[in-house]
Amino acid sequence: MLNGSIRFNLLLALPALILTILLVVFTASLSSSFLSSANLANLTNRVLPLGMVALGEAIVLMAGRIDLSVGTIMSLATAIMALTVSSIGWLAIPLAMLAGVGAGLFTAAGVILLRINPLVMSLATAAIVKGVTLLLLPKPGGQVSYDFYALLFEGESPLGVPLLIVILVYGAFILLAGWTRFGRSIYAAGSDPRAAFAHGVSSARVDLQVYALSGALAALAGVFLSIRILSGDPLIGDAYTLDAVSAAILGGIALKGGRGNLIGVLLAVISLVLINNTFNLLQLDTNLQAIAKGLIFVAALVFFMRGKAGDAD
Amino acid sequence: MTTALDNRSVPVLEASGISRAFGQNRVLRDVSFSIGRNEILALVGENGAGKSTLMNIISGGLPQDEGRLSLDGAEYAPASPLEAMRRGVAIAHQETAIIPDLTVAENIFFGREPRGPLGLIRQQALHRSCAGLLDDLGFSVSPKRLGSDLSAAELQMVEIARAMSLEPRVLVLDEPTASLSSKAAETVVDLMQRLKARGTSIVFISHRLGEIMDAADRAIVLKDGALTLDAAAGEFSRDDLIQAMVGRKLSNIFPERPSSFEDTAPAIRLQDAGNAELPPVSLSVRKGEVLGVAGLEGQGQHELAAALSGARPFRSGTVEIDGKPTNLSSVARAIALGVASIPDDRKRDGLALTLPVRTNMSLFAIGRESAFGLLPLATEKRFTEEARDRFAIKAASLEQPVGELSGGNQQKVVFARWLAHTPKILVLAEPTKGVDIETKSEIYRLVSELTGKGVAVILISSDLLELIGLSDRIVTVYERRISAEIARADFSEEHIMRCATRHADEPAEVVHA
Repeated sequence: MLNGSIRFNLLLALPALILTILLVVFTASLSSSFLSSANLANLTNRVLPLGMVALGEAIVLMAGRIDLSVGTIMSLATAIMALTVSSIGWLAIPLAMLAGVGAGLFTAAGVILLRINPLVMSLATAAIVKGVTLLLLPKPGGQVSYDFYALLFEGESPLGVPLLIVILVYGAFILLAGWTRFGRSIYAAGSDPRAAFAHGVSSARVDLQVYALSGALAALAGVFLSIRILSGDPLIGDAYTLDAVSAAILGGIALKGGRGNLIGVLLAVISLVLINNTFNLLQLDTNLQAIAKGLIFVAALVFFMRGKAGDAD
Repeated sequence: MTTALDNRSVPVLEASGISRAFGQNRVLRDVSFSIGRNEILALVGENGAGKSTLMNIISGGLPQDEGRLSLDGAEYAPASPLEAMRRGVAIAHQETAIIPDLTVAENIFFGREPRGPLGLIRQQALHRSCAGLLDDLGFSVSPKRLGSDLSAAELQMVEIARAMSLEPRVLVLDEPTASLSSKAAETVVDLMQRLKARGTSIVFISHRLGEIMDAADRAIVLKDGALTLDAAAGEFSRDDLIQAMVGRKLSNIFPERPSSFEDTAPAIRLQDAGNAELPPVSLSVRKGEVLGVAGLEGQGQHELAAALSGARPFRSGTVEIDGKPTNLSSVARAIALGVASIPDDRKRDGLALTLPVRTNMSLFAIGRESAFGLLPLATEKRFTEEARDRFAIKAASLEQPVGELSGGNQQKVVFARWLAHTPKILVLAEPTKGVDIETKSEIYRLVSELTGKGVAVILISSDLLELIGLSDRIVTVYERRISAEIARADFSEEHIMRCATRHADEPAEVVHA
């Protein structure tokens, strides 16, 4: 089953697995309340939005690109939900996702047509999306009906609905990345665009696809977030951009593209949520958390770059 | 030869009157040839003669401006490599298009993977059928290895396997043996013979005259885009090939130079100089002498050039310039000591492609001609105009971006920059890669002019004719060590190749043909 490059990519997820296990053991030993069902439910509720946005980011990184607009797309989605759920009901969800796809395609257009560096282009998209969001919803507010909350967080399911969604979505994308021609074209474009072109892979097409997916998944993350807070918040997504890139890198996705496995990303998401949880359980200053996150990001970058020193360009 | 004659009557692929230009540059002029069934056709020509362009046209990578192609008598005008493949013409590229992060099997069957339910790729079946294919072709590469793990020879094998997996009727091989050792090259030649026996027609580009004499049923030679020879095996000799490639006797493009350096002092001497990438090397070059460095790709010659230029300095051993111990610890220091290095990748290391010719040429003059770090415009103008005339640079104006010039003219700009002030030591890496024959002979003349002034030249080249024509002495490198030193009297392509493909202490192989 695991004959091909998947085998090599799974190895890259190993550090995230070890980190997750260590963190679970560490946190459980620190505080007896860690294993309480309330805390576990709280954990899965946090894994859901970060998991979605990190998934999209990871796919973009696999193609050798980056998307720094995902946090603002999340905020935009919460605003769209808060403003339209009362009038159009569940249709607000596809509407928010469509907006996310639009933002993604905008970034892709700049990268493909104007040949703007992806990092810079997605930063520009982020500024525009943020502006649009603040025009729509200048301050936190609006309302997302409690019905959605009940369905998502109080639904009948042995694992809890959020965890079920995470498992299904990640399962689908793991198959997509590793076992389809589409997934292979993403790895190929990220690995060596020139060689990929010789195999008939158009990197422009891959760019369009991955940025659209990233926008859609970031919007979905925003949808879940708005359901949890029962409203919209024009700035709530800002912190998620770094977390999403962090989770992807920590999960073993190569910053230069072509390598990594999404299982690693999910494990890295769980690790980041656990670190967050530990800070809360220990009642540490939230500003320390931001510092810690930045340091973890740098550590992850250094760790994986060292691991690949042999074939660094 | 009767079979070959019979085969001529049923050409598989026929090209007539093919022409192609890139802008002003006419790359192919009215080229006609045909390939018979079960025939191995060798395509020979110097760098820049139009070989790759011709092969690209045949395999659907480029359209021709004029002329027509036919396949089995039917019109053949492939719009893309994919369409060419469908019609049964596959190409294995020289710069192998292997995706580094995918396995051999995933690379070979990319886009044609066996799929099961839900369109999911069947990894097991993919790797099994790849193993079958590689077995069948007699390749000993595991289908499970990553592209980034493969050696140059293995990459070439995988590239050929990829083309063969399409079961083509015409297989085009673009310099399949260029980066291979002689042993690995023999495997590829064997493979061509086996494929031929199975009914595949093969066109291969090669610079190795030995293997052409061995394997080809027919050879065609391109020179400056025109066909200069088309002959069946047995009807041409090595000399005929060289004559047709170069178009004149060797002595005519290589200037006459004095050949005795007995009483001249060494300009540069390395004694066990090395660094992390380069095992200790010892050599010396006298004033006015040209030392050729021959070797297959990646045998350490580029590390040597980088060390001499100061970009990747020597860390051990000694360096003497004009008999005085010194060091080349940085690029700035190497330049100050009079060591000029012209890199082989002018696009990456030598030129700012988007800047005008003027700026590119005067880059190096800054600091020498400048007053208080400023370069007066008038000085720059005088300097660049003189250089343009001296090096016969063809540009619309000095304000034209360098990237728009032809390869030959770009190379002349590099030379103009470095040779504005005569250096003591000139390190040339592949100085004529991708330039036309006219520029080539101008570059050769320039080298001769410089040696006349006492400049010591280290010439690193993969072009054996160039090394033979220009060098006073040749050292061969193999696996990052000097494997032999050859005096001018013993120069021959075969001898150099032999030395370049074995260690110094290895006995010479028995060479056939």
